[in-house]
Amino acid sequence: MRVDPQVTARKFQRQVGFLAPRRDALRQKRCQIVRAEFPYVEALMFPVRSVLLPDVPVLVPHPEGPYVLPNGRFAPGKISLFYPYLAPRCFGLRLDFSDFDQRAPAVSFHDPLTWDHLPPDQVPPAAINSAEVGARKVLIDGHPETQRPFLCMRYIREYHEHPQHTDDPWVWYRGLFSLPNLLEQIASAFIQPIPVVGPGIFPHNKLFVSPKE
Amino acid sequence: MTHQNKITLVFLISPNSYPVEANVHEPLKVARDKALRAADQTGRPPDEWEVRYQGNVLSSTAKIEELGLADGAELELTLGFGAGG
Repeated sequence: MRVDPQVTARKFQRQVGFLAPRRDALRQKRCQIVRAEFPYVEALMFPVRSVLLPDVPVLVPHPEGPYVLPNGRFAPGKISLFYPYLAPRCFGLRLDFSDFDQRAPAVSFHDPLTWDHLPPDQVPPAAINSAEVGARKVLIDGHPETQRPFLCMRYIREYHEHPQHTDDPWVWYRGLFSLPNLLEQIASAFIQPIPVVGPGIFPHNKLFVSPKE
Repeated sequence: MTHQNKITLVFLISPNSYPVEANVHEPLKVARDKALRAADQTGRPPDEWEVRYQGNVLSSTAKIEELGLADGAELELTLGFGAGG
């Protein structure tokens, strides 16, 4: 503990107060706040993506196709597969405001029923897409301090206290911190398009399309 | 004489607010950069800052009139999340 808990608790309550007018916007991004008791804010996340797989190689019926099967002749072709809803599992998100705001809030991923930590392979992928640089993966496994998956994003403790980000310290950002903004950004990372197949297989990263695109 | 092309945008850079006169035909980033200078927030490239209105991130290259911002609109200015491990 680095900060008087009473001080931290007051700063925590101030941030929680910012949530009320933004709860609907958060729900639209499939994030439901379920608990806000010092030092934790907990939310259930329901990530959903629609998926488009373009140009999938298949055999298609063709009267002069080279492949003869019991139900006719076939030739190589391509189709596009569209899955309107692909739902990764619901998970719990916990923000730990201990030592806030000398330290950024810590973010961790949990089973939504037991609130046990989720193993890395059960946390859905997350990415942030921007016009400037395209999609960037932000869910990284194995933080050097926690050994757990973490979000590599500013305003999050695991980012600012990561050895690779000592040049981007929390103290530069803490005056600008907004809990609803952070939650919206995290929620967006779980519903935005992400590249899951390398460019050598599909020459673009628009395979995953979020529901409103 | 009134200036129909001019409005005032209020940029909130926690914990202070900075009213900036803006021309609606100019990109939002012109007003954003004025606010950053007024707040003496010149240590980071301006494009690292995000402008939010009612929770939504606005395009700083869009013209103010295209964004539908009214006179007196309050815009939140914060450093972006700069993600990617």
